[in-house]
Amino acid sequence: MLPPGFRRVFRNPFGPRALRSEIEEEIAFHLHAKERDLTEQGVEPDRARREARRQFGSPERWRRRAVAAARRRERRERGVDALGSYLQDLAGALRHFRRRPGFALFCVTILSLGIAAGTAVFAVLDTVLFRPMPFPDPHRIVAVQGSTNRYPGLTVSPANYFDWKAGQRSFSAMAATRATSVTLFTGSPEALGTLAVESDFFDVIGVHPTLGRRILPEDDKPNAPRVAVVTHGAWRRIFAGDPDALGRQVDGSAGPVTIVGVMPPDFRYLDVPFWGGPERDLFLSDPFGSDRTSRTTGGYLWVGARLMPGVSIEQADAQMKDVAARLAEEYPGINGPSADDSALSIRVVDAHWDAVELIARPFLLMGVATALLLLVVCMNAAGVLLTWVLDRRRELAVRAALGAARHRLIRQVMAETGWLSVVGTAVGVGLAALLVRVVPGLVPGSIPRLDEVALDGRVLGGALLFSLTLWLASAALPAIRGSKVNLSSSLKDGARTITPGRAWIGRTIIVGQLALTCALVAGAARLIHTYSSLVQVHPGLDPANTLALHVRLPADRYTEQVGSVGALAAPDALGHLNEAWQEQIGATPVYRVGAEAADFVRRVGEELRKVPGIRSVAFANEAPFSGGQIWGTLPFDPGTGGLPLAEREKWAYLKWVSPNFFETLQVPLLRGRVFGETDGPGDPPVVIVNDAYVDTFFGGAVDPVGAAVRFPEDPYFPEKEATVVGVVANTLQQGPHQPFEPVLYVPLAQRAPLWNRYQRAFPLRSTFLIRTDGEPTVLANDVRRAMWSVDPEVPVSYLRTLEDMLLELSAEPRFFLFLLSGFALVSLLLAAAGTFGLLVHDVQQRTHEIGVRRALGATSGSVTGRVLREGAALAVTGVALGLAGALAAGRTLASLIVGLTDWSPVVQLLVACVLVITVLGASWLPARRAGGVDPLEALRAD
Amino acid sequence: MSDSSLQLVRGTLDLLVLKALSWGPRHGYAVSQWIKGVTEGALLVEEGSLYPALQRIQRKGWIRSRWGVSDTGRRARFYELTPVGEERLAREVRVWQRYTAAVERAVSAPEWEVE
Repeated sequence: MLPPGFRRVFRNPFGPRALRSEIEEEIAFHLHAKERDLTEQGVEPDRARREARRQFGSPERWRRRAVAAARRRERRERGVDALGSYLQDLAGALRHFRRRPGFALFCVTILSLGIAAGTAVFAVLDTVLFRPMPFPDPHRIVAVQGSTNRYPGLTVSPANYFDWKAGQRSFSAMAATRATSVTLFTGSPEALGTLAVESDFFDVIGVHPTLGRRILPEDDKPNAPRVAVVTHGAWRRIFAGDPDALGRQVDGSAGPVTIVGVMPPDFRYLDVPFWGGPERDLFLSDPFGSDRTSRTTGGYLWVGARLMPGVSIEQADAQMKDVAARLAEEYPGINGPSADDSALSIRVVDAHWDAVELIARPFLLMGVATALLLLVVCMNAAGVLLTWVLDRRRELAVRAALGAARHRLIRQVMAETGWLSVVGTAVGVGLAALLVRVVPGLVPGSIPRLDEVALDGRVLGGALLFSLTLWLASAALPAIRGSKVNLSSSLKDGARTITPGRAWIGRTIIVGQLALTCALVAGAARLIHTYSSLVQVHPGLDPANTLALHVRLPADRYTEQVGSVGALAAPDALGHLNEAWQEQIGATPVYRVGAEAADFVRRVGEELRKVPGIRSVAFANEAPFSGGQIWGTLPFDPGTGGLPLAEREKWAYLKWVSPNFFETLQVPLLRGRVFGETDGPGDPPVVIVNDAYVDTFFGGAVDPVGAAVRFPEDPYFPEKEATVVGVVANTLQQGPHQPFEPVLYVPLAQRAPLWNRYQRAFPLRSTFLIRTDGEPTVLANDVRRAMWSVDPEVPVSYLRTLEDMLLELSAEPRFFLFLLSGFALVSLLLAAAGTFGLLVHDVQQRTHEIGVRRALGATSGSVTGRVLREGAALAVTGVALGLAGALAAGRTLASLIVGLTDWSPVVQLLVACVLVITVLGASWLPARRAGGVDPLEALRAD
Repeated sequence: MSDSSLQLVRGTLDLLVLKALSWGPRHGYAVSQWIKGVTEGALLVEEGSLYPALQRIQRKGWIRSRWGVSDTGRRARFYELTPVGEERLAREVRVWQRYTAAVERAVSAPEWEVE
């Protein structure tokens, strides 16, 4: 049970045979010493020997008694010696702490801070990154994706998907899914995160409804009535937990749907397995809709699958790649290689890791920051413990002089620091429990599963590991230093002077700690700079009191097919494509998005304006900052309009807006004019551009008002030539971490009428931007009613306030901002405390020396200045090293964080200043104390 | 010596040993000389009785011993207080002071107070 060396190292030095002879020797020594004393007093040797014996009593008798007592002791100690002396060490340590509670408190504080930070971050990393979704055999769940050289993780088109499914031999279940949002019009209408799924989905995740039934294969058939399974939470929320809701048909924004099942209460689906995204509450049948036959390189389906038992991911991957190769031969035009990309292949990846990969990088950074912080904590604790051990070197020297083995001294120091670790761990874990409870509330919705974070056994195990590491790392140096006692110097004059070697160690620790802190703070400052610029970036418009109602007009009623691309498109638009592509795209149907759509927009606008509380209603195809929607990106080049689209390098977003769009959203007009009633369908084409557009396409210098620009709307039709009539300020589009992109605003009335099959969804996407007088959310139902009074069958994609949308964009930066600020602050505090502790100790140790200096004429001011200068020297050395380290690590940092701002000398200078000032502040009290040393007192002490 | 007075002497001897070691480690001879000096030989009639006592006190964990070298250069066993012993000493001293104060008050009290 015990390691082999244990008994030897900790064995009882009083073996049974040794007892008797030891006591004999002790008594002999006693008699000898007595005789010597007596002789020295002038007693003659013979009498002295007799007198010594007389005073001692019978040596024989006392020896017998002493040996008997020693045996009793020995018997007792044999059992408890090891344990007992440990207990003694522990008890002794406690006694020391009672004597210096401030010291103990300080140590416990820094240790618990480190453990709290480590534990909380570990808990978050564990939950968010490492813990699989709570499905049976989660490691068998994989994502099956299209893959080309350029696009490694592609969604799939229906025709390709059905071929994949037919050809696969590796999965026990495989299901196509499509993420969407559906509003059920019952009770309080609520937009539900929705996943349209094939029936196999439930076999893939391995969880089935506990109430009602799952989606069945017959629900997968084309035109089958739509059914849905809801989560337990949504069932409680929307249907008040009514069992009769099962089987009931409910009107939804995607048409009528019958609720057939309710998932178990503990089931939640964060869309993580197949797709990084928000929580899903509704599982709708039929992910394909009307389109089950289109075959394109990419698509709109995310595919999940469950590996058959005994099949590895690699085997499945290889098998699916064979399927892909067959399809590439069969459909070379689409699945085969193109001029600038490889053939469409398939990759099979662990679903959890695939999703987590998207969010892993910032967390990795968080881990690095935590490691740095833990290192600072270690050095801090080591520094403090070292000064403490050195303070007591006299006591330790005495013990060493008495023959205490070195391991015994090390053990004592470890026992003392062990107490600190135990208490520090307890406090730290408590603090971490508090943190993981509080933090998700501070930054809601920023990180998936953050609300699931809890201190479970795994995390507690991690915390123990942290504290053990912290303990060993921080106590090792003090223990070794403290046990290496130089007897004569420690006993004679140890308390008076500090030897250079000792000061050197303390200083190295402080400098190392300052350097680490500096690197941490500098890195954090850079990230904080980056993130705060993201959080604070002005959206370019006023999001207050504004609702965005986003709808998709049903294609069957709002478009009509008028021909094909081959017949209607510009001949040169397809010229750069290979023959197979030309043929396929030439056959693509073309639709007219006609007067009905424009009419719908106009009439909804009229209805909305009738609603009391609504001030103005504007229209755009997409809401501002509606994340991730890049469909509007179209190539543009004013100078070389003849260049094929694929070869153009500069791109711009294209947005169709109503004339009052800029006024309603308060987008500032910088030059020229906004759209007016004169910019109708028959009038000369006009556009408005944003500031970024001017920078990108006009080099920023020229006044673009009046300039002509050429651009495509649908890429297969002739480009449009229009005149720039105004320039507006930049607004956020994709997210704060993206630079402002060039945007071209086109009057809605002048939107192109013809769209090919793949682009026709664009003009059907419509967003009403509704500025209200007061709190906009109370008008949500009025807004929906007004819209449905025009067309009751138009599904609402979302109805949200712009402020919500803006907040969501900055949620992740805000989370990391919060975290990094905390880390930087803690490590700064630690550095200050560490420096303070060391200098206080230093001054205390050198009281004698300072006294001599004062006695020799040094003024109080010069002594104070000396200590301050020492603090400053430490600070400058540490800061210089730290900044150098931070600079060196900068590249790694930049590779981890998208959109990291450049290394700002001002920010780093600021960091350096803060650190130096902090250290000087921490040196102030010790310096004052040194200045206040009374030379007489100092010299008299000892 | 009756049993109770033996107990009394033992307890007192323990206290004095702890006290003797409170200024630092000493060997048995030094302890005996200190006790004899301060008690004028009243407590330690035979110096040898110290050695069973030292073993007994050691068994209680209040002191511990190590072999070292005396100022005369001979090997000697040094005794020192353990943390528990320090604690014990502080407590014993308080108890002793209260005890002796109480006894002192009692034995020197005038008659009318003792009813």
